[in-house]
Amino acid sequence: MTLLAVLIPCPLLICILALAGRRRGVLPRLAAVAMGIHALIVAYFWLPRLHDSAIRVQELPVHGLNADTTGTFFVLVITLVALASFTHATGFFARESQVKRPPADRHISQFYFFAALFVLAMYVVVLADNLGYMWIGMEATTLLSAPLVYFHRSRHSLEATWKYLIICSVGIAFGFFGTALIYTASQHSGVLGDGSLSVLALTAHAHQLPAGLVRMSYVFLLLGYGTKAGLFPLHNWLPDAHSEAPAPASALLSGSLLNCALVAIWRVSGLAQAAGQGALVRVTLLPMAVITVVFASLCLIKQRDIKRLLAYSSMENVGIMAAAISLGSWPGFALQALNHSVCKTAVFLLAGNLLQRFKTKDIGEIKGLLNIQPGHTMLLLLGLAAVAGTPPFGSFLAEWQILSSAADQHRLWLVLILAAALAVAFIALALQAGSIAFGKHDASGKSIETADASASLILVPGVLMIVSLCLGIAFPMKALALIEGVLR
Amino acid sequence: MGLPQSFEFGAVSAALLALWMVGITDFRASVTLFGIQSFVLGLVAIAIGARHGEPLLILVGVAVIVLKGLIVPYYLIYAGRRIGCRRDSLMPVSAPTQFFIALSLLSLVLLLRPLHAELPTSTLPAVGILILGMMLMITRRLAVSQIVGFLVLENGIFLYTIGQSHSMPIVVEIGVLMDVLSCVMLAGLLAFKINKTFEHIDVAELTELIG
Repeated sequence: MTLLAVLIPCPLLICILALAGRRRGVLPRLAAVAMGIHALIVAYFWLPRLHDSAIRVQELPVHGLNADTTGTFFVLVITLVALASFTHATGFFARESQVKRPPADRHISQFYFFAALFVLAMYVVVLADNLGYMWIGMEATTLLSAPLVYFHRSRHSLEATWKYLIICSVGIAFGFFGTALIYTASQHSGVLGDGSLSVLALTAHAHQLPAGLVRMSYVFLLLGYGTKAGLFPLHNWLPDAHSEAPAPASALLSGSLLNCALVAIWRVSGLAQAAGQGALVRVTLLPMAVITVVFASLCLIKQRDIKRLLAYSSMENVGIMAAAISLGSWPGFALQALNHSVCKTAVFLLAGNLLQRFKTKDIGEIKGLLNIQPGHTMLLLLGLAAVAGTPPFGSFLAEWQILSSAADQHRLWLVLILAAALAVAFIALALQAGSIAFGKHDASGKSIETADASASLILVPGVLMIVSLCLGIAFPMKALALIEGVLR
Repeated sequence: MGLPQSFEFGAVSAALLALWMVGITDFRASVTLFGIQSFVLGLVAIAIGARHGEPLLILVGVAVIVLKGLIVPYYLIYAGRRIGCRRDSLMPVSAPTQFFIALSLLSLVLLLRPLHAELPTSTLPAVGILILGMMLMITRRLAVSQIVGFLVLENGIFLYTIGQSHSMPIVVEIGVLMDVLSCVMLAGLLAFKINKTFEHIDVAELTELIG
């Protein structure tokens, strides 16, 4: 009971504050404090569950939700990203209100209202055992995050929001068709009575499900949740939405929402594998994942927009995680998800700071940053290195884990393609980072105001980078053992 | 009529309404047809609920009639009038050609009948409506018409879910209905904004974000 109850009050409090409070500057700070308390409470109640490997399944009081170990892990990841994003947002909105045309207080209140509900919807997705609830939660995340993408009220954000809303809703509609098909399959099983949508029940009786229906339903579910994860042919909306949203929202979208979609894919893939359709998972999900990695890496090379650069890098990481899912490498998937969330949140927040300072997203105009803002630059360089999977960061360990599990299964071509794509991505990100840090700044251009950054703008990404480093150096073995224990 | 006949009658007329929508370009007419389609599907849900003794399914049917049959069409027609759009022009394929493509796709589904033994009888009309909704979404260029296409597609899935031998859990059905409605409201608001900002609602012209 408490497990579920502790997730709700603080985000709900933020919603109420957003509805009530209109005064400039107060709301972001209150929300950050509320989120801090929330994170402490969640950590206190949920973190011990990670050590307890006996917990495979725990029925929650709401029927259809299940705090299994995967759900627990991703609840913690979402909370971490939300904490970082809300804390950073205090400085972000303080600075945003100093620009020439500041956002209305009303818009900031709306931002907090939808962001808090968005976090709750993501909890529903990762904790759902019932595929129907998972679908409802997933569609709710789209609806609640669309207003976040539209925050700037510009032409570009409008276009991005429209694409995001329509493409994701249609994709997810196919996912619901897949859900309905699996429900039909469960009625044919003969042991599930009137039918069931519970992943646990379905997995337990997976072999009694008719194979044809399971296959068809898996394809539709993959189509639906793959759209939301941004897998290759269904990715069109992702770079637009992630780049047009304000930095704290980009961090939430990239750092936690993509994980939710991947958790959904993981659960349905696990179900399909249990039903003896492992081959189908490998011929559908694996090629999609590989093409996503290759395509995103190639897009990184020519990208001139810093936030789109990061969005394509997220796509690349999603591809790697999807490959891990199709290989059945749970430690690889979980480690990669955690590390990607930590360092991508950090770099999206840093990119937001740069954007506010330089008033442009064009990498060609953000040059020679090392002389202007050495602290920011160092963090950004470290962050990009971590995102690209460079040792000693945790993401290296995760990618290593995934590649080695591919090698264990004698999929050498997969190892080769993934390694080549990762190398291309690394080179592209290194070149772009080099141009940002060391290029010659055009001083005659726009004037750059002196830094008046509030502490949270630099502190939050800094702490996240330290976490990422720790995941790679200080306790990599512990993290690995923990996650293996958790997800096996 | 017994249940099988009335069910098939309802399902097939819903599919025919969707086919009709493919052939016309007038915005108000297609919204009206969508409203009638939702009404028919709501009645089908009520009939099935009454037959199987599932009061909750009757509730879902009533909700569909009120929300998707009345409120949503009213909202969309209001939005269309405010924006000032009358018909879809500049479609990549002309309406009659689309009609023929739609017919051939439907015949293909009818000929192939995937997994015929395991799927309930409602599958063919449901998949037909799904395909037609998809076609509407691909070919229509007005933002508001795309919303209608999405709703038709969703109606197809709804028909599938109520045609199973046991309907989906009520919480799921209602949750899905609420999600779809919020999505339509949000998309309608965005269509207003697109009209105001770009002075048109031709979504094919939204091409400033590339690369």
